Amino acid sequence: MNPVQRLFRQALRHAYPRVVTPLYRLLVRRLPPRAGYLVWRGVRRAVAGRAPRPEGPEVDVAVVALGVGEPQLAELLDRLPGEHGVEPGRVLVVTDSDAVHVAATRGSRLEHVPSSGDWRRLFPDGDYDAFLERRIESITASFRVGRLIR
Amino acid sequence: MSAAGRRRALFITSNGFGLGHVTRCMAIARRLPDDFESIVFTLSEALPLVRRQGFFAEYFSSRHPGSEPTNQWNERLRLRVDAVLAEYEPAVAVFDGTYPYGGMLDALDGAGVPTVWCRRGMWRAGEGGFNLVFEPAFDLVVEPGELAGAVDAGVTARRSARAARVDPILLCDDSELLGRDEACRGIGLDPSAVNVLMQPGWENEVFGPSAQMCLERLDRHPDVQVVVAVSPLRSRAVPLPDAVAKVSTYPLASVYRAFDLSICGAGYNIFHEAVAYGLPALFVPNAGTPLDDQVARARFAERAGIARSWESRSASALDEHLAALLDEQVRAEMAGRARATGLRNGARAAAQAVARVARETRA
Repeated sequence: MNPVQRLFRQALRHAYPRVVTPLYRLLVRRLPPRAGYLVWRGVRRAVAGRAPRPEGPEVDVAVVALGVGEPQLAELLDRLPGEHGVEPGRVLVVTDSDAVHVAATRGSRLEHVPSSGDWRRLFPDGDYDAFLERRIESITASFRVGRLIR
Repeated sequence: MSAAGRRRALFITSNGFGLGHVTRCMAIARRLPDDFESIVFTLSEALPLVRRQGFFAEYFSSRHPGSEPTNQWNERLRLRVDAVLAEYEPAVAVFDGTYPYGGMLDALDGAGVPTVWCRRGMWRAGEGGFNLVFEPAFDLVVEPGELAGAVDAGVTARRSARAARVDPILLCDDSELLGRDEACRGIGLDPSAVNVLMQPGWENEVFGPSAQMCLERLDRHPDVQVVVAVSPLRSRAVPLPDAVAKVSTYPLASVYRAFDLSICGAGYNIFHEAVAYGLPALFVPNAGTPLDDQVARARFAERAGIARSWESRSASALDEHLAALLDEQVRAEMAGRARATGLRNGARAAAQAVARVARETRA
């Protein structure tokens, strides 16, 4: 990329959130409702078709912690950053605990999966283990995980 | 559809300042016909509360502030909603929030699931206009009614004709509230005292000077018992002084009859519950919410004589309000005017609308 192209790209990156996005929103808002939505959806599909899907956030360590209560979850999230020498925001815990505020108050990431008890009430004849595997795979695929601990 | 032949309704709730979105969804979900079962997919930390109400629930975290670009978070949301739709095969998806997330819309687009936007009004004037672009993405917009709808200066007021309006949506029906003696017993209050419920949060995450001022003023009255509500949103819970009585019942409205007066913000749920259940209120409107026009609600209520509004946060105004509200006759008249509004619960009508969308779109 030559210097002019580089400068242009930098200018575009600077202008995009400050000028392009607000202008785009202003124009779309003024269209009739159906047209505005179709333009929004069309632009979104066009961008998705041309650009690669955004990669997920980087986390250095992801831990699957099932069947833990709030105190154990808190202890885990207090311990993990120091144990692995990383910032709290680089830690992801995948848990069936509903004490989800524990991660928020520590700046760590948390992904929730329904507990086996809850899930089996909805799917009495279902295979929870298979569901769990699907969900954990889906979650870890949506992040860039350095190390997964199960 | 479940093995028992029941349709599934998926409720997707945003993460608002309080519990408004998730409470409205639960209010609708519990009134769906018997051939439905509900799943709540929430961005709110109120997940434990939703589960305790008997719902199957999943949680998805809000965007990590400062470290996750919006498009990255929306992509993760798209993947998750895709997975949820594939797993549960809902007959209808209901979103309650003011801004339908792009990732959610991407997942719903083409999934063949009929969709409903539960969109309350009273948006602050001039705000949120772009959000209405997403209206055509939904098969139906249900607008929970606003008692103060006549003074709604927000952008949704101009779109009401396109929405299915219902009465204000409340989690509890009047018949579900405990009687005064039972409610007082449960909280440890003397039913013969003047019981005041404080629901701080009008200053967001702090128990600020205005809340402290209320406590100090009320403490001067030996016949007054004050109880402060603890927010179920643990990471946003307002740190409370040690020496105050606390209550963490949910739904809090179930024990409203224990109280003679509420001092609270003017968010959708709190406002309509106070009026519907005839609980005299001193509204302390939070002018710091992104969209919710609490100031307009509170002013409306004051003009209608069904509440007082303490916008100024001044000590002299508070003294004047409390002098009135601690007068039994004034409270009785205020409660009478509140009941005379005839405010009804629109949750059942909203549930019927959701069920209709599900049935008319799927065989």
